[in-house]
Amino acid sequence: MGLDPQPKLILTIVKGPDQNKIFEFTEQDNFLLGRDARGSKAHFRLSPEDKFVSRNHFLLEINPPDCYMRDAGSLNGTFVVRKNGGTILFFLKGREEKQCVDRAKYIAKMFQCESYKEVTERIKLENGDLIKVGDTVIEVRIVQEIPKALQEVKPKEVFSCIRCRKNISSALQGKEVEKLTSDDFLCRECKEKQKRSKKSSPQEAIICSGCHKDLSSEGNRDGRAWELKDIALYWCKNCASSKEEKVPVPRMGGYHILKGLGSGGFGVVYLAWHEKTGRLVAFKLTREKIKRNKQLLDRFKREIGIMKELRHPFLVRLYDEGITEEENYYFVSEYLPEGSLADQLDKRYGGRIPYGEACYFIAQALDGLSYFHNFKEKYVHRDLKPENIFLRKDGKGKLVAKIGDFGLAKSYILHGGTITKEGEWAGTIYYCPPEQIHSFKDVMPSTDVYAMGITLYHLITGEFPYDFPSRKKLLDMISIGEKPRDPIEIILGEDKPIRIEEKLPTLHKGLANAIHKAIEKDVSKRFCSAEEFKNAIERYSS
Amino acid sequence: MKVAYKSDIGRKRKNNEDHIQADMEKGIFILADGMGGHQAGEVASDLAVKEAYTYLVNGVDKAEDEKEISKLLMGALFKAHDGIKEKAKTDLQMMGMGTTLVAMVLKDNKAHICHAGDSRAYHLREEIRQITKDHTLGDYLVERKLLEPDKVPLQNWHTLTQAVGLTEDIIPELNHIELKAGDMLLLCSDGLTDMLSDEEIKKVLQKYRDDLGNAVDGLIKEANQNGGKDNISVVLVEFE
Repeated sequence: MGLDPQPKLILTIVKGPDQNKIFEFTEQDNFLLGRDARGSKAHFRLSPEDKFVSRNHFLLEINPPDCYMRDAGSLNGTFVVRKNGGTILFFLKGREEKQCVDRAKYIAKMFQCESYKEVTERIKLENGDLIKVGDTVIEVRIVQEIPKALQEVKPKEVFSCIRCRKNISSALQGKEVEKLTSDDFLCRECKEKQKRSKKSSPQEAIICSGCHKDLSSEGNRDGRAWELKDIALYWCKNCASSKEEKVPVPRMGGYHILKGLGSGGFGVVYLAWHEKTGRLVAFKLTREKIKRNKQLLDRFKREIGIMKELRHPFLVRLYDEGITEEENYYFVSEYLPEGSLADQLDKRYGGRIPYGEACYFIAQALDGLSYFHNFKEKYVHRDLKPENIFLRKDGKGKLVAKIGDFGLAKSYILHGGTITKEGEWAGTIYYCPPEQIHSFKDVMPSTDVYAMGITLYHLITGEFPYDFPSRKKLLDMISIGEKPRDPIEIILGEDKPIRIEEKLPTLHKGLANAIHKAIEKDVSKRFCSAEEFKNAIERYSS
Repeated sequence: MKVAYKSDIGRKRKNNEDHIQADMEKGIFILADGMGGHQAGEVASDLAVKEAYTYLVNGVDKAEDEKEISKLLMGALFKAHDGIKEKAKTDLQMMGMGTTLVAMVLKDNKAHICHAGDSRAYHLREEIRQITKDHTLGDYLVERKLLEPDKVPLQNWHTLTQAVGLTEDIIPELNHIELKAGDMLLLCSDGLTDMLSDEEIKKVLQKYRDDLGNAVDGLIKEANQNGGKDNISVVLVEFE
């Protein structure tokens, strides 16, 4: 009848210089993949950037849904990571046999494989396999595509343009969301704007932020300069060297570590310089303890898993990830030289931010948060506070806020494994609503709304809405023989927040009400979503 | 008074992150159980004990009444908290380190105890009594009758609501006990109390009543026999 499900093989490059390229096969085919260089006969040639891919690397014999892979005389071998109960690495040897075995051990560790196994001649690929060649990772999907006539009518999803928030649902109707790129989530006008700016902007002009030297050729060595156009900062070698401080390990995973920036609870963050491109990055390295602690490692990997798919102007962007020679995990993200809102609160604003500017930052952060809450499996951040909202200057020198540090983020739909950190309070107590203290694992987006409300209150007043005992107050209480109250007791108890107008009598009534609605202890009286809170405060931003 | 103290690595840990300080002459006793990777836990507990001891030893003679000793003890814990935070700021490998801290001053027939975290102080007369409250989320929820003990998620018993150098700030807790001759006071880390019940501790203390050194060894031996999952530290004082 022509309506039987049609098998289809889909190969997606999920990591490497050619990331996001997709190949689909519905018919019998032979497909040779290799590096783009003289002598290559490959049907598809990966970017010459990936030097560890051979000119003729592997051959696929495709007859959907079956697909066999052979090594096509590569130097370093071909590797397949398969998750089937446990995770196993299969490898086909290349010409350098000993090197292939060493590399198999390394890749097995990298992908947390339980074992690795050599395969001779060819391997039959399965749905979900990951092919690793050089620095490139290709995901294999084998699907039975149902002809349109048989497809169920799905409930209509609502999509907004990631730049201007205009509804673009009709433009995306019928498209497979999983295959869309970030550009597809732009409305027609924003796409046009992007095209125009792409044409008019001097693509070749990548400038060193330190001395303004032209770094155009180095900056695009990994082919990502355009993708990171409005995000990445660059330094030439001289400027990077001049900022170098003494650090425990000066080089890791192709990055030159320049100095320490801070700590994210279970990782140390460094300012680093990407040797290949001159890109400045924040390099987050797990502690020694983490690789021995499955729980913490899971949490770190979860942060990477979430961050690497996020694409939003008000969320910190992940660039890269990997394992150091000492087998410590790291990830690399956008470097934000202005630091966090907490840093700027003291340095730039002397303890209080004018409400217009504070609303401007928080509305941006709420925009990013709203995207995050609705992203794929729907996440909650759970650790929002001024320390985790970062700032950078846009093209016009105006500060832009971005949410970062997703270490406690968790899907609120997928109630997966519990990974509350032992021995440490999860989240910062002053920003925690009662439900997060009761039941840390079952929090909802409104938990983040509360934290953002407290953050805004704190930015504007320099204080908290509750009378948490200060050190001076504690010592005074001892003098009169009274016992201090624990902040948890205040949050969980009947205490009402101090109205913000008592601290700032001239504040707009509407803004005060919006902040107090966000910090309601009773979830049912709070704003339901970040979007609602954003809409309520946006008009006060300047 | 008589004093005996000891810190043992236990059977599972590769390093000892506990630290102890005992000054019989001044009547100052301190115990800390550190946490943090890269030996940071060891650094945190060591630093906390040193900072707190220096603060106490310089002020204990001048502190004349309960209120002044209370302020002195509070100040000692704040000093330790700030010292660790400062160290963590300048040394990235030490970031995220922290420690529990229990400090005791014996003066004029009274024990003054100040703590943050889940290291404990016990008082033994005829019965054994835990003086300090564990600053864990589990204890908090149960104490406030927000959850029944069997409903508290397991990890909440290990989630500290206060840790010196780690949490935003600390609100140290104070306790004061009138002492009689023959009373015993025990400071210990959770390496002991996770392995032995209060009753088991009492039995050991009564068994070796005549020799505090043997009593300390007995407690550590039993904790190790029961698994020795963490470092075990004990300070035992008999008031005469």
